[in-house]
Amino acid sequence: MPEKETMSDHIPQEVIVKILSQLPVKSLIRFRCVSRTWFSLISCHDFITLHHSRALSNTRNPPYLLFRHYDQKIGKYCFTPLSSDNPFPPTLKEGYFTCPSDFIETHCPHKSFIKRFFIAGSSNGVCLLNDSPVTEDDIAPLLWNPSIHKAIFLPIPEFPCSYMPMQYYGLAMIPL
Amino acid sequence: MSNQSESPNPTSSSNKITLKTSDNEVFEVEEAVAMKFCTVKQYFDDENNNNVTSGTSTTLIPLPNVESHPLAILITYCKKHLEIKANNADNKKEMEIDMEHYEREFLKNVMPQELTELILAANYLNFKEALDFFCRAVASAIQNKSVEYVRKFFGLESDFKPGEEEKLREEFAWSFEGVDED
Repeated sequence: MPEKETMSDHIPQEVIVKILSQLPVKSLIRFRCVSRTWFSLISCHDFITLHHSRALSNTRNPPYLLFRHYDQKIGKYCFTPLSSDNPFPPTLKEGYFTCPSDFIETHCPHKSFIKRFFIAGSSNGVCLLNDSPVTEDDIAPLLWNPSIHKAIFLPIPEFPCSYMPMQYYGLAMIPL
Repeated sequence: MSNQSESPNPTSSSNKITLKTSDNEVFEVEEAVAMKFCTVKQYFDDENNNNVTSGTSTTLIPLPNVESHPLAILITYCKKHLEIKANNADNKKEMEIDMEHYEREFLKNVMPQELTELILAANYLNFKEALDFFCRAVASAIQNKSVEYVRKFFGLESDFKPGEEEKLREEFAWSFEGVDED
C-alpha cells in the first residue's frame, strides 16, 4: 500500500474547516486534543460562529429545544433537550414532563442549594438561568452553555431586585 | 451554482472533452460532466475565448494534480448526480431522497482512507457538490472516533507541551465518553 498518510498532510485548512463544521460539539471538544492547530481552529471565534449558523440550518440534525422539567424519579429539576422530530416525551404525568431514560440529560454543572433553576432567556445557544431565591441575597444569575457543559455565575446586579428575579431578568444579544 | 450544465441528455450527440491525469491516463467525458468541475470549466472557457480568433477548439485538458483513480470515481459520481437531477427536475425533495440513497450506496464501496484522495481531487477540480458530500462523509466517519484515530486519519501528530493535552482531557472528560473503538 502506498503511503496514503502523506496525502492527508496536504488537505487545505479550508477543507478541514468544512469537515469540522459538520461535527457535533461533543466531537469538536474532544478533537481540540488532536493538535495545537486544531485546538486554535476549533476554539476561534469565526469557527464557532460558522458552526453555530450551520447547526441551526442543518436539516439532517435539527437543533434541540431545551425544556426545564421536574423529574419525579430523581426528585430534581432537570433540563432535557428535545429534538423537533419528537418534541415531547411520550408520557405526561401530573402536569410534569417525565423523562424517558433514552433521552440525553443535560445537567447544569453548577448546583444551587435549592436546585430550582429557571430559564430566564437564551441567545445563540447560551442560557441565562436564575435560581429561585429564598431571600434577596440568594439571587444568582448563571450563564450556561449546555453544548460544552460550562456555566459561570454572573455578578449580582447592583440595581434593586425583587424576590422574583426570574420575572425581571432576560437575555438578549446586541451585536455592536 | 451555474445552471449551464443542467439537463444533460444522454441521447443527444453532446460534445466530448478529454481530461488527462497526472499519471497520463486519458478520460473522455461529456461536456455536461466536465463542466461540473469548475477548474475544468474555467480552463475550457479561457482557452475557447483565446481560440475564437484562431478558429481552433480545445478538447484536451491536462489535470496535473489529479490521479486517474479518484478522477474515475468523481466522473461516476458526477454522471449519477446529473442523472438524478435530470430525472427529478421538478421535484427537489425527490431529488434529495434519490441523491441521499445513491450517496449511502456509494459510501459502501469507499474506504475511509480513499475519501482523503477524493477530497483532494474534488477540491482541486472545484466540484462543490462532491466536496460537500465527501466532507460530510468524513465528518460522519470520524464523529465518534478517538483523538488517536483522527490523528492517524489526517496524518497529524500531537504538538502539545507535556501536560497540556492531559489537562484538556481531564477538564472535558465527558467528551471522551462513549467513543468507538479504533
